Amino acid sequence: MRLVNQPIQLIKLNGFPFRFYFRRPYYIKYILDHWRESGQWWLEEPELHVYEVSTNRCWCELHYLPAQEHWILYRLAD
Amino acid sequence: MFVHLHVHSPYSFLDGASPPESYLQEAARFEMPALALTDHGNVSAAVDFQKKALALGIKPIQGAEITTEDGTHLTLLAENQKGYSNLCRLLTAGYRLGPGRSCAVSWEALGNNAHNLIALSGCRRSGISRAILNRDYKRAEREALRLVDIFGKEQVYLEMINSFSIFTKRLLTQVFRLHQKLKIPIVATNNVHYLKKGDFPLHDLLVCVRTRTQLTDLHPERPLNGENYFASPQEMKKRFAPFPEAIQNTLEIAKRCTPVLDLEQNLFPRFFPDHEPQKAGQFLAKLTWEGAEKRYASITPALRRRIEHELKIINRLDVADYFLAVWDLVREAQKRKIYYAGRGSAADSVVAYCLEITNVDAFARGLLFERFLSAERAQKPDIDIDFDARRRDQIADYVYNRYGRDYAASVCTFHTYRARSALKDLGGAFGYSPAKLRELTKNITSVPADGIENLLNRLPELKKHPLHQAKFKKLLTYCAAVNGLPRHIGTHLGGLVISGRPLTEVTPLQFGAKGAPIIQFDKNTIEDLGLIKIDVLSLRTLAAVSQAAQKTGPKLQYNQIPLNDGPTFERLKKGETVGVFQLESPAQRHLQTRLQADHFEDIVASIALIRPGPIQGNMVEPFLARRRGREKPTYIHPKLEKILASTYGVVLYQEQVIEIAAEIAGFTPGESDRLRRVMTNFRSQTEMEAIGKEFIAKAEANGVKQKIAETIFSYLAGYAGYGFCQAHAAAFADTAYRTAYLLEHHPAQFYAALLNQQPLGFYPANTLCAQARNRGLTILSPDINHSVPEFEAAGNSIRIGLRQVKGMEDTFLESIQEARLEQPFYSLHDFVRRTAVNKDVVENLILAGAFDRFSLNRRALLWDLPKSYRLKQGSLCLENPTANYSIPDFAPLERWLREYASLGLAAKEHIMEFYRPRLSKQILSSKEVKAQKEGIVRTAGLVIRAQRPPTRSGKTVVFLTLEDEFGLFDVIIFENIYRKFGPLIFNQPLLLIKGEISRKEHRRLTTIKALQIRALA
Repeated sequence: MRLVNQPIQLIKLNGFPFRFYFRRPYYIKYILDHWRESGQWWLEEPELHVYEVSTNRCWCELHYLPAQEHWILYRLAD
Repeated sequence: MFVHLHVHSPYSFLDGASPPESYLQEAARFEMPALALTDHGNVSAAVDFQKKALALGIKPIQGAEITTEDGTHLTLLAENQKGYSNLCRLLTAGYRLGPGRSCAVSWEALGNNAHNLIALSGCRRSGISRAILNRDYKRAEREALRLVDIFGKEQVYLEMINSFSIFTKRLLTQVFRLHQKLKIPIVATNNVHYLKKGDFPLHDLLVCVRTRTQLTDLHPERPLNGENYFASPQEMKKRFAPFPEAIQNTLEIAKRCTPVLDLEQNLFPRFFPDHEPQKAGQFLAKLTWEGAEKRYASITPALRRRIEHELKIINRLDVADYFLAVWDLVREAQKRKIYYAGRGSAADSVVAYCLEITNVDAFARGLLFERFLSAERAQKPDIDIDFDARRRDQIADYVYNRYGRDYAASVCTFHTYRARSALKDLGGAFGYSPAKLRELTKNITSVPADGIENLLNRLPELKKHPLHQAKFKKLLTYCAAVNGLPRHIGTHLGGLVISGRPLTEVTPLQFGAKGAPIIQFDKNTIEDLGLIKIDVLSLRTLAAVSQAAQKTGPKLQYNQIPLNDGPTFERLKKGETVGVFQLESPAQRHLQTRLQADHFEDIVASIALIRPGPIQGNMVEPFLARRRGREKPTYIHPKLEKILASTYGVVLYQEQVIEIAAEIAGFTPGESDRLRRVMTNFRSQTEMEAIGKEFIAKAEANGVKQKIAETIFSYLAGYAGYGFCQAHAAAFADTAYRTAYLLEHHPAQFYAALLNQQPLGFYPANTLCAQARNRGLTILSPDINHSVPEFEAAGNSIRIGLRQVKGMEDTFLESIQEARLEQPFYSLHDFVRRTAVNKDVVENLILAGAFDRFSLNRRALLWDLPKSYRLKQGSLCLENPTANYSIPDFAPLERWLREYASLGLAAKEHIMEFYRPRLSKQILSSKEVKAQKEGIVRTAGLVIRAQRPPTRSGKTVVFLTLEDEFGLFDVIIFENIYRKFGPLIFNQPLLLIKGEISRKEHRRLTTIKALQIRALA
């Protein structure tokens, strides 16, 4: 398991995460789980959407910040 | 379309952040045909929910989320009344079984009470979800089959919640698989805990309060996101796009359910259950006429008509059984010689007087029965009775035993958030320490939780309060948001309901601290359920009266005290009324000196006058001026004279409003009372104008000129919110007068009784002792060989009881009394050796003077105490250690302060006696101030009480009561002075006042108008 925590450009298909690029392209085969976290709202921390996905290369954890419309590759297991 | 079937309101206590009406409004906006309410183990919102839902055209579905005995959750919905009764029985069984005050429903109870209930398998804490999360799919299947076994295949739905929590995908997938395998239908819910997503922080805070965690803590009960809101049908369809059947089934379930509450029934038990209903009315009449023979010298035609009129209304409203039930209670109290006094609007009833429920002769006083009960109003009667506080529970037990524990219970009350509780709870959730919370709540008075900011800006003593800092802004915002939300359920002080059918048909029962059953509905909703309340209240004054009467002996017959005793009225005229029920506040004491009461009616008027309404409504001055003959009462219509003559032309009582409406506008008594209630509770100017038009039109039709009718209506409207029930005032005046009589003629016994019933009344125990000393009585220190647990009067002295000593417990008292029976104590060491009293309490006994008989040097006794304990613990030596008298005793002031700390009062001196020699001669005592006619004075005293009542002008005025060795004196602090010296008033025990003597007309009590205030260092 490797912590990455880097921003990525992600493309959706039919509203679901489909593909992203981090040094090379990753195609998302399955969304294994997906949840939302409100975070430390009392410190104005933004809401976070978490996706555990199985890609063509490995398992990844993606984070989405809806307030900034920003995707992050958080972790992966390669 | 979609229907929410799993919804929590604030009656889930710290787990629901939005009121039911907000959900209903939103459901109406979404055009949802129905809505369910499923609070945790609770249906308290059911009545309001049903009424408001039906008014909006939404079908209310009543349910609850229960916790089973293995800690799992289950959502239950009542299909109909039978289902609802089963739900109530289940919850009751759960409260009986659950640890502490929690609800844990056994599977056996579920099996016995499952009919007409629809079971939704529950949230993440359900048996099925837990099994799935543990990947124990066989177990999940067993849990599902268990539900089917208990409720029946047609009654079970597998609940699916898609609120974007972790592992939701696994849960939804596996529940769907169960549905496919076992053919149990699925249903979608959102486990709603708040209205909008933005309300999540408030809910999160409430959960922290409930779980006693801080925001920075993790806890399994704290959801990670704010998705459990009242989502729209579109949103829910989107979330359940792969499972459209789950959405459709919400409508199927809603179709199956009907509103469950019958809001038209009467559940009060028949007094003669095996006879025709009329028998109760006949028996009531018989008792009433028998009572009338006893109460009245003769039954005149007018009295006969009055009694017949009341009995007719009672029978028409079918409430004879209620009167008989109350009569039965007071008969029991009389049998057991328990002091009681009926109060409130019941004193408007001659029937109640004849039955000895009240002691107010409504006929002689011309009181209007319709203020209490009227055919037009058709509301249930509500009788309040005060009982001796020590024995009130015996009466409550009598009710439970007589009717059965399934048929009688206490009414509940909801403890809701106000300023201090909100700051403490939410501040704790934010992570502030207990010390910080004490600082934040200091001097925050009892205001609503959304009134804190206003208070901080308004009161000068809060100018430097830490809550002004920007970092607490969020805390204050959330305090305002929780204002009025119920925090927990409690027991109403005295309200009991009795039912002819098992209470669990309409309400679950919870169990209070002493195991007494409590229904889940409060006084505002019980009538809708068909229940009537009897208030069995506890009054310490009656306990004091009972004790004083007992100690005084047969020469005092409390119920035969003459109502025209000269010395008693002289006491009232002087305003020396500390200890007198309802007449001891500074405002009352001043009123008495101005009123110069010389008959009972004056006391009745006093009680009605000293309230915020009459003061703000400028009724006090005109009343006093006319009562004292300085002004002549005028009546703009002759019919007003007979109604207002007893109050000198001033509208003082609610009954007078009713009578005026009847006489001037020809309203029936019931219509008049309706007018009175609308005016008292009016919410809109439109409503008031409509009533005004009706009144004026009817008055004109009754021959009254329009202008006069308009003027009369303006008096009524101006007064209406302020009026007091005359019957209630008379009932209170009765007790007030009798306690004044006791104070005048049996001061030692009465002061001792008052001291035994503390906390009671307006003043602390120390002031009662000071008053007793000023009456020439001696207060004796506690004595280890002579004191009993309670204060005891003997001749002209009062001995302080041992129970008054700080830390004293019943076990210690028993040990002392037992040892004393063998032989009196002869030394401190002997006491330590022969009793089980702990060292801290013995120290307090020494400081209180209980061992003064062995040595007046209390410091020396303290010094030797550890030696006595060492000897007790280890040594066989019988040596009796003697006090080390070479140690000097405490200095007088220190000795006094330590005595005060150990007793909460001082036996012999007032603290001002220690300061007096050090004060300049210019600083006058209260005695010297009273001798001054006018001018500027300087004085000093101990702060007893500071009050900040509402005023006519809206400006702040503080009424400060101070005390010195000669008695009480009062200081008025107007706004400009208050702004300068406010913090001192509320933070310093001893004050130095420079002020101007204020004397109005014949005022015998001096008031000082403050000009400058300092702490007396």
